[in-house]
Amino acid sequence: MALSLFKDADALYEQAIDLIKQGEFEKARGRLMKSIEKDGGPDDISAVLVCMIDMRGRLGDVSAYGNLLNALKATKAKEFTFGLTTVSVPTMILQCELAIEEIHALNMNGSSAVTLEKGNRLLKLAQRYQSEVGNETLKMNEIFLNDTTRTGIREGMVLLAMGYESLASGTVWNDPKKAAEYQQIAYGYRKQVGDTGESNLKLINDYSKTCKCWFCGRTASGLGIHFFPMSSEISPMLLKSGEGEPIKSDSDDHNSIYACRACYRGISIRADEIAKVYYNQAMGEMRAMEARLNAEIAALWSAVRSIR
Amino acid sequence: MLRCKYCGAPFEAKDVEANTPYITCRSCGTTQQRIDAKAYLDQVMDQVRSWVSSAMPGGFSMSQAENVDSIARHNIYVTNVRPRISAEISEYKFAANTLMTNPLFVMPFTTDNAAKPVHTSASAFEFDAKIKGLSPLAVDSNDRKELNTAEDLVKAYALMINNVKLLQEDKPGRYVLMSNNFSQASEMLSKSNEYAPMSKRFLALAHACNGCEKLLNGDPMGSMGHLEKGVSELRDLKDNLFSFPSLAIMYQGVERELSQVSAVADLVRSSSSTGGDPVKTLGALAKISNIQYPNVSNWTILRTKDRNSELFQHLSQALGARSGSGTMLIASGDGDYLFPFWDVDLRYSFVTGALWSKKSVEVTEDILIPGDFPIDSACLTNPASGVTDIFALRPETSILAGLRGSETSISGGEGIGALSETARPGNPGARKIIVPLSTKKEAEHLTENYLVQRTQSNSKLRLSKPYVKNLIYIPCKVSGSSIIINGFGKLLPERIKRTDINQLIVL
Repeated sequence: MALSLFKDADALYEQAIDLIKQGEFEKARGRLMKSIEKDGGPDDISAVLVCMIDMRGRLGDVSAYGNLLNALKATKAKEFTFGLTTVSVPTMILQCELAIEEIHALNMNGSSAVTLEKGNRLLKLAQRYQSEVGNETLKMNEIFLNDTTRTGIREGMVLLAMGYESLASGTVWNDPKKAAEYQQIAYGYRKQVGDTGESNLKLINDYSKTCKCWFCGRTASGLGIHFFPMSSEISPMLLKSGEGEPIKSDSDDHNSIYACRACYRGISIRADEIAKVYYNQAMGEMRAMEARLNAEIAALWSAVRSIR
Repeated sequence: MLRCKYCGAPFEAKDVEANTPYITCRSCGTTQQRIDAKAYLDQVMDQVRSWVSSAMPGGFSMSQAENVDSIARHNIYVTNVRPRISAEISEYKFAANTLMTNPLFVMPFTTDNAAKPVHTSASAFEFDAKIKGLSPLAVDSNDRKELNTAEDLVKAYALMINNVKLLQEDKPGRYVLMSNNFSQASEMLSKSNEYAPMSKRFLALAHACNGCEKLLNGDPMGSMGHLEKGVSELRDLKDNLFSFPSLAIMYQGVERELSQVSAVADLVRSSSSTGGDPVKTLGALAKISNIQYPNVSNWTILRTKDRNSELFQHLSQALGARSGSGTMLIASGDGDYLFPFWDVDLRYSFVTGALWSKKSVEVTEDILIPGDFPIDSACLTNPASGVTDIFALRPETSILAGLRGSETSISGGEGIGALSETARPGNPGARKIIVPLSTKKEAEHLTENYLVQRTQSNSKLRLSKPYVKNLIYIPCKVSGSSIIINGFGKLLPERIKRTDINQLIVL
């Protein structure tokens, strides 16, 4: 490498390419920026490489993808090389667009309607990954994580799992049975991508459970959502009275009774109110006692002072 | 309807009507005495009746259900029956979907134990009978539709459980039974749009099974039509599966089925053009499934079943080349055997020079990997012994060159590139073909492990990007049980020195 103080844009670019291959990304970025300042335009491939360097450690950052996408759309080059990997510009544009959509969808949180919308968007995105990326690897994962196993098909499977999990969350408030079915499908996809799917199995189990409320007799499905176990004592006589019922009102170990959400919340709120009254009463009495004690202490002090 | 006492499947009407003391189940293939089947039916029906009556309010008899007014029946269904049955239906639906993620086809003479249904076929058929027993109570059209769909799914699931058992044992006539089960299941599920892709899959597999049965019965020409139909229908299903997100769960299963059915079809096609016997070849190929691979912790990919499909494809390609209907990449050289090697294109960069002379150099090299490396545990634990170890032969340069930055390479594999470049599409002729026992993914994995190994011992090596290009065949000679290959010089992989021809499959 020749030692010269004033390099032209091409020399700086070549130097940057060399530094990228050495794994010296920060230095490479500096050279590329200088190259752009000297001779670059908005369509400069150096701008693409700068954005690529900025992607390191920011694979979940929409703005980083946005910058890269703009640079890719501006360049006239058909492909570029980053390190040892040559990437086609249209492929990268597609994968950036999909990644941005994916991050936006995954960041959607809120009411049931929003969660349902999130689920549907993830399912559509999964189809795009399958049909438009297919068995191609995701270039960002290949370049920055050295992971060549993440293909469009695999990403589609992951998104289908997450999509159905979102649909389940958005549905469980109105239809726990449907939510359990969505969780079953999500479990299948989790298994396909090598996850254990244990959390899905737990939710399938909970959402599928049905009880008859011990208090009002209504049928409710969805443990932890629409009905709750409450610790209690069930006498043998009461146990007998529930025998043969198709739907149970108590837990398998008979240490808890089931209460539908309405009864559970009604009892909880009323219990809170009663507890609050007792609390206020106790606090009032404590304050009165405190005042009495303070008065007695003050009287005692004045007696002590008078003795002195 | 009489039922099989072994699997619970109802017998076909013509079998029931025939007045023979013995009856054979067309779903699981077991022959039994008619009297035993009758006894089993009584037992099942007793269980169903007892289950149904336990779900009914006291005093209600199912035998008079049709005479009870529809509002009362609906109330009983909603209050007493639905809560109980819907949980079980959901459980069966889940189990059926989980089973569908597995491949439901195997090549002749091979078995597959991967699928593990959570129910027995007898319990699934029994549940189907329970659903049927409850149907008079489903007055509402939605309830009826729900029960009918569940009944079809559970019955199809029960038939698939029988097929899973047939996948596990290589017994004569299993493809007839499987085809019968697939056809029936396909017909049942075709009634519902929800399960249309599953129905298409079963129909395609029924064709594939018919093809295999014909092939095993000595009719390769007759088998081709069925196999090709199976291939095209499975391919069509695979391409469109993601349009049905709830059933795209079958994708990997369908993909593996497609590769296996395609391999059988290719094999029949190549054999027919040479006048060879495809059944004999299939028998030899089945040995691949029985090879015991070493148990090395980071090589779990060797225990995945889908690898066989790719191995069969390589075989199919080799057979095609032998028959003249295709070609294989053969390097120049001497010998009456052709040994498979993975040709890997390796690009790497290293740093040379000091201070202002520091720079990176990009080098492109070729690495060859013996195609039989997975059977050798030494290659799996020490990847350098399974490849042409180019980094072991570093070009001699002066210390000054290292400081000045004038080094051009830290590896020495030029001769290997020249050897692999001689590979051209051709036919093996009379030469014997050694069957590759590794997949492309495994070759990639070995190369990655090798590069990790070398990066740890060589601080100059920075980035590396291996690309497994092709499977090429290099002519070699056999002396005793050893392989003798020329052209590798000092780079001959240690694996080749250890190879015992008796442990390999030779065509």
